[in-house]
Amino acid sequence: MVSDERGQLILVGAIAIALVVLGLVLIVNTALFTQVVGSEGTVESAKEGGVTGQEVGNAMGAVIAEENRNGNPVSSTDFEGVERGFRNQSLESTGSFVSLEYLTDNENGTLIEQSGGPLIDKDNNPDWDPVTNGDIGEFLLTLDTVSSDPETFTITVDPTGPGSSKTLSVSVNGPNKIELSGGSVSGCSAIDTSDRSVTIDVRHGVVYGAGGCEFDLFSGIEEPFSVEFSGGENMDATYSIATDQTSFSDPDHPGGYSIIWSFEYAFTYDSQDATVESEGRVIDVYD
Amino acid sequence: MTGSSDRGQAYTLESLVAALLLVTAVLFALQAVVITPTSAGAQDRDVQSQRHQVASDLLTTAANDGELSRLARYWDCSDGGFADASGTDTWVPRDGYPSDEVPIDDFGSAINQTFDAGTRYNVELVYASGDEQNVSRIVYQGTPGSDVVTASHTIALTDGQLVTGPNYDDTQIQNCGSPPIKNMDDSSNVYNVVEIRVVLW
Repeated sequence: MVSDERGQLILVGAIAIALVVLGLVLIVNTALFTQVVGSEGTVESAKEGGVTGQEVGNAMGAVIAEENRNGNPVSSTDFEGVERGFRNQSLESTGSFVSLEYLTDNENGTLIEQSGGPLIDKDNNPDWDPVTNGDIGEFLLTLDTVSSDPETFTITVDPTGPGSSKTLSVSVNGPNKIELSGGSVSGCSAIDTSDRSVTIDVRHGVVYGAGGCEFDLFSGIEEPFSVEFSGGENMDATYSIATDQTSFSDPDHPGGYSIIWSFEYAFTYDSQDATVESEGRVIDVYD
Repeated sequence: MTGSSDRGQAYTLESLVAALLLVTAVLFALQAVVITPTSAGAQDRDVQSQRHQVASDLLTTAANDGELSRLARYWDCSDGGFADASGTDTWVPRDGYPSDEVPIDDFGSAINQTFDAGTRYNVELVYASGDEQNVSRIVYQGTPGSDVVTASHTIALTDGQLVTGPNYDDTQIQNCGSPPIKNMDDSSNVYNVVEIRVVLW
């Protein structure tokens, strides 16, 4: 009798242990499944909030860069415009809400601007370093190829630290042709300007209106660096250079005025899954 | 004698069954895999997430280089559309640029180099137009399949930025005669906010 009960006990015990093991497997699986599904939306939404914050910051940078170009101070209407635009855009596409706050903790730089005439004043200083030991955020060069004489203007970038210098030569080859040459230039020979001026974004390696022309004058060069101009005495052109240098004084060359180089902002991103509130973030206007 | 012999066999059988149950349970537990949402779709969710991340990184890089902004300003101010790309073909409103020829710098080639040849994609610009959102196709390679991944980046255009299309050198977008993207904010320097969307499948 005792032996019969023992056999049944072993059987029941084995079944019970087997059920416990199976139950544990089920619980662990369920927990993992719930964890993955449950955290998915929140994590993605929080990540999206971070990206949106960066996009808002860059948009504010674009607006400040425009005010810098115009020589105007930053106004609250600019940021209200950015906030309004992003709010509408994000509400339409993701149902989220974006608000931002401009903190006036700015760092200043200088915008060097030549509004007309020859690129270099050859009588006073044939070669010129508009930037010495600094960084450049924007460098727009506009050539009037119709009135300029055939000539070559050379820009040399020389890193303060290790690394070798690079040059970009811009040649006017007649009333409707310019050519770019130097390091990292491709597809920039005989650019037809068709009786118009041509704008070159030197910082980003773009010739406006000339598809296929690419160059990168600043690749592999870490700031700070210096920039030297040479040639171009008879070229009719304008340029503007945004640099982080705060002091600028040279009576023989175009003047500079103070601009905002970097600024601080905070934002709030609010979606169904997550709310992201940032601390103050510092962002460079020209990044 | 017979009874004792039967009991002995019964004990043996019971022990065997018990052992079998235990071994089966342990084996099942060892073989069990974690059930996650990855098992549900045709394409692994991790793969989709990875492709999304890569596409987002591509967009961020292009935005930092100013390429997305230049792409959004590649206009033909005479017909209210995007400009014809030199060296490619004509942009048409519903089909975008033919094939994969994004006419701005390295953005198109970066997509082509990053994803394998079997990956197809559309590039769209989404922007405010009146009270609604307008979508312009920049590249159109077909209707997305089931394993679609979308990544986007939003930028702001400002009034004084230049039109980047051919023959519009030195023309600010606010002075473009017939722009494809309209100025939605007259009270500030913000011209419009544009979402550049890449749809991969």
